[in-house]
Amino acid sequence: MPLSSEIVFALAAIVVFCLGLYGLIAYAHLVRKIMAINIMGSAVFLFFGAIARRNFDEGSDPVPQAMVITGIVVAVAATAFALTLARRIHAITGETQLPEEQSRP
Amino acid sequence: MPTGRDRAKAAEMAEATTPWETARSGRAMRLFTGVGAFLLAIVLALVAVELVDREPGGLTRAALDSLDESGVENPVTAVLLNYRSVDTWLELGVLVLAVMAMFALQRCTNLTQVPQIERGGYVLMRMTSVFVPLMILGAGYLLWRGTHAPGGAFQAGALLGAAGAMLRLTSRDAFRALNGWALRGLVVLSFACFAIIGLGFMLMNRRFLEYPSGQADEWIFLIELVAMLSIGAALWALFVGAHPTEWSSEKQPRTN
Amino acid sequence: MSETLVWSILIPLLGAIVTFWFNPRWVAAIGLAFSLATGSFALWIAYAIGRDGRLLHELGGWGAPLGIDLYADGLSAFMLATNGLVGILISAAAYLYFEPNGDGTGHAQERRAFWPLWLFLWSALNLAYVSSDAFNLYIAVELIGLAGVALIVITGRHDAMVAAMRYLLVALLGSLSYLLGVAMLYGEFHTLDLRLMAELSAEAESSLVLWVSLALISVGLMVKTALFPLHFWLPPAHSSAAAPVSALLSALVVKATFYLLLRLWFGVFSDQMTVTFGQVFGVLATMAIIGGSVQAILQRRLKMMVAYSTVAHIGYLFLLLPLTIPFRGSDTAAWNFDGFSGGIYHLLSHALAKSAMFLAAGIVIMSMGNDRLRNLRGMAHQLPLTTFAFGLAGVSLMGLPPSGGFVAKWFMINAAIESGQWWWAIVLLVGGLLTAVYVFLVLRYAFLPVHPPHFRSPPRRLEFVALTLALLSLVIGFRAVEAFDLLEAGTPFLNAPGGSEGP
Repeated sequence: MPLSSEIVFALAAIVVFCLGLYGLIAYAHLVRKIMAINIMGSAVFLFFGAIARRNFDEGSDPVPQAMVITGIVVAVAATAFALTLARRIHAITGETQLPEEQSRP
Repeated sequence: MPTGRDRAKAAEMAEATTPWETARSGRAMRLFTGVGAFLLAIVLALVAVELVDREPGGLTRAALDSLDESGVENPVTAVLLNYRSVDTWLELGVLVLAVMAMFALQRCTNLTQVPQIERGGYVLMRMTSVFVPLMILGAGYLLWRGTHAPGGAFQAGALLGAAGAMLRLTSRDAFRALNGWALRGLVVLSFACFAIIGLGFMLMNRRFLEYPSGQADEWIFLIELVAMLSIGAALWALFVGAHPTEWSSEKQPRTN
Repeated sequence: MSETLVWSILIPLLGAIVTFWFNPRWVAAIGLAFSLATGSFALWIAYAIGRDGRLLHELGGWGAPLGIDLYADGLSAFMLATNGLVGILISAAAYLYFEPNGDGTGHAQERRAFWPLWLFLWSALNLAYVSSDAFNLYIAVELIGLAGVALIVITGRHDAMVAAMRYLLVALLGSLSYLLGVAMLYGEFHTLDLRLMAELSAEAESSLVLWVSLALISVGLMVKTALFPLHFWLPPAHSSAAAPVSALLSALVVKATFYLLLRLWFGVFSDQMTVTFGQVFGVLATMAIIGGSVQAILQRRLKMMVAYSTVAHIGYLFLLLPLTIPFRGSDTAAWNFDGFSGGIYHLLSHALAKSAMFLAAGIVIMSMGNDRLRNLRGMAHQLPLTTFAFGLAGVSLMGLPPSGGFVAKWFMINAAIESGQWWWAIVLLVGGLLTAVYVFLVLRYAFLPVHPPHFRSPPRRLEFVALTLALLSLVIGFRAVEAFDLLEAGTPFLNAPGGSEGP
């Protein structure tokens, strides 16, 4: 099997997704968790990109590309609200972690 | 600002309501998570290899075949604003919902109470006065470009939102003067317009958001123009509204 | 006719836009009017589908696979109707719960935040029930999650904010896992339409891609449905919200992702539904029922107890998997298995009973200051209607005749015995007994003849709303036949390629 660019993109997406998952669970700081979610989201979008490129001689598949654009806006909106919530929690309690993860970085 | 007593109370409440209280030892947990993520990566990578190897298919053909009817020249834009326009409409809805949620969280309905922040330094001030007009110009260009290349309302709206953020950082908060009604109106404008346009077609015995043949390009440009304004306003509102405001006494939550 | 599906999404959305944009002092009246319209319209659609069969609307006029289809059959109609019925009553409760005090002050922030968010949430729920496109459903699921989180924080209390943050992170993780699964399915089938995918997957061989995407989608949606052991976020989130919000989260929101799981499992992944798969979910469901009930018994606060009870009852929903899979033959024309109908019927009866219980808990907090169980002494004397409502809802949750919960359990136990899986029947019976324990724990305190020290009379009409919900959860036991007929309308999950789309 030749090493096509799609496979590099797809494998990179998988690696980034799992790194994001690790970050989400391993780190307690809320901003880190929100960033981890965003990293996972980017990985899924990259995966869509790899799927879209498979039949490149016909031109990339526009449907996954459009889904990526839609997905990015959804991610932006969710991230904005998550950060607002994290800042509000910090303003009220002075904490940047969820209570059950108080002892962790 | 939270006092020590508030924090002590918070900790006590958290203890009372947290469902699982075992303090997991950090290192063991990380090791466990790392191994789990690694195993997951192997399984997912196998799937990725298998998937990429599949015979080509997809909707490229279908999307290109209908491009003439779609009213735009770029297939991605055609998917976004014609074939799957409902997704785009709902995505504007997600932005509206995020602004709604932000207002609910801050217990307010406008941004006039958001505190001023310190003026930025000289470099930032000069940069803003140069960049903001350029960004507005760039937004217009992206919008126009979107009809025949990937791009359009979202990129343009993001640029407008970023211009708003820059203004906020230099404390020239033009939008802060908007009252709640105007701001919320700007945010819901494109979402509402999109729905009303789609509904209009439906009442003319077509499907929801099925453009009358030959008119798709004009309607799509109108939607993109309004969407740019709404996206810019929503992103700007989310940026400014993230600042935690002090709650006045009548806004204090009830305790029970 | 198929335009009704679009209207079922647009009516609440219009309400959300109007209440958010104009947001006057009397926003609650507008919100309530839109809720009534949304709910009664949904009930009418369900009636129409029960009469005429399935509905299909090609959005944008393109049709799948290039466009997005809205599609509703009996199962969608049942969910729309459940949402409509319970939604109207919870809206009425919210109208009363967030009413200003005598001097016209109080709850102003909650009122202004609640109505747009709730109507938006309702619209997203209806979208989830009628959309047939996997990516469109991703947006619906994100809308549901965001609106649910925002509804929790409107109380402004910090424990609610912390619980909401946890819920938000979990919800985002769940939808990303779902989305990665959808990306894999698109790579496999080159379409996002669930019905086309189901047709293609029936012909395709079982592959690693299908199994992994099944796992990703199942875990993603299970996290949001809070199936044990992924339930940890639910009790704090549901118990720290305002009572009407708790009610609609427990009664409606967790059910939406469960419905999506059913659609995907028995549609797209129908070949992967092996007996072993069913048994695995049976074990998870059993742990949810036993674990959730035991936790509920151990709680010292009423709302936490009711929230843990939700964890247990989500287990009953998933028990329909092992009870349905053995009956599926390749040539079954109608989808009327006892286990499936019973499980879905449990969804309705739990939605009614659980919202009644959360509203009762809210009334207790309003009038007695807090919801510590110790504090409930004298409740039966001071709040007879609320205590009655709580007790009736408890009867339905326990599954005593003639309640809706009884009918549901009866059918599920029947299915368990018919398929020779008596162990699930035992789980169902033990679950009922454990439910009885925590309901009686509450009632024991409630009937102690003590005069509560600080007592404020709650709005009488609010008590009547809770009682109506509880009574409905009881009397639906008499109308089960109609509900089961509706479930079969338009033969859900039957994908006859090129078949007719109904009249």
